[in-house]
Amino acid sequence: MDAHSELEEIIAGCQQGDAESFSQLVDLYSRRCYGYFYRMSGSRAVSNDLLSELFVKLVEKIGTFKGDSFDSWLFKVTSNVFHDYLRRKYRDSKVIESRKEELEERLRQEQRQKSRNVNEQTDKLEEKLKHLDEQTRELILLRFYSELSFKEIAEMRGEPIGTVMSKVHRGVKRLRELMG
Amino acid sequence: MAERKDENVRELFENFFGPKQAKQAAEDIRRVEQILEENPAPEPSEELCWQIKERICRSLEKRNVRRYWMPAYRAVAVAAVIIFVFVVSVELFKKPTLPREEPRIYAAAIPAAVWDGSNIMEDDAELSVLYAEIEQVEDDFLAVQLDQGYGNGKDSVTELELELMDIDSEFWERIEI
Repeated sequence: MDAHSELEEIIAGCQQGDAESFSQLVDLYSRRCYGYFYRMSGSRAVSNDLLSELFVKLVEKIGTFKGDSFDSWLFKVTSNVFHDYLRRKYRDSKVIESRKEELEERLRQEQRQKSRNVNEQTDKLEEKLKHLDEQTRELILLRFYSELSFKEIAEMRGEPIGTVMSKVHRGVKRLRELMG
Repeated sequence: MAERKDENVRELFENFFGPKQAKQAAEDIRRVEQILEENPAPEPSEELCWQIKERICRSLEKRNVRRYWMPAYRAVAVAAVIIFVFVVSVELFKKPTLPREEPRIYAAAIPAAVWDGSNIMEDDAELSVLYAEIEQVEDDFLAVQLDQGYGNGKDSVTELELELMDIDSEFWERIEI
């Protein structure tokens, strides 16, 4: 059985509510989706939450997958989960403003704790990715983690392929410069 | 994903940029992808994956419970709609019944105050006149008996009788009116 028909079988199982099929789906995609979340957010804690949220959402949404490109569909959901997170974060930031001092102290404590944690070390790439605008960063990361073609990415985002390629071109050029 | 393998990035860029720029863009993309491979993002821990699988199982259980009850809820909803439609249609197409008799109101010929009141004199002027005349007759009768103010007792009795007859006829005349 080739990889494509194996994936089709897993998806069919998921659509029937089979826990084992979902387990296989987690094994197949968790690494790539986690990578995307991590590179977009720069935080393991956020990535952990978002990955859980993504797969729980898939339980509800898998029935709406109509059998085109699963990777394209999955990364569209993944991207939506991340953007929902950004919206929540923006709303929270408004609340935070009112409790600024109290929360700033808590944040300082958390950062001190974080710096002691070896697993939370930031790498050079993560630092440089922050210099790109959000849309360009997302396009580059989607291209890398979803393993989709430019045409598929353009369709997924509902943008003309020329726009996507132009943004990616500018982004990769800048990232190359930053990385040296 | 299959499309990605067949994708020629340089050719794609050539549709939008010049050949030199397209070559450079393709090279930039290849280099950046190499950088991303050289700097892999951390992977999700096994513990996290197990937690996710556990959460999925719980969600599936909830979904199955909902699926189990959903037909029952739907059946109840459909039954409620059918009953409602039935009741409404029965009301709409019911045979028209005979019009109900309007409640009759009976008016008393004699004012209720006459029956209810304890003072007859206040209620009817005719009766008060009659009552006064009877009193007058009684007084006259007593005077005759005591022989006061009247010279001839026989004439007095006759006068009294005539007066009584007048009162009687006058009373019945008034009643007839």
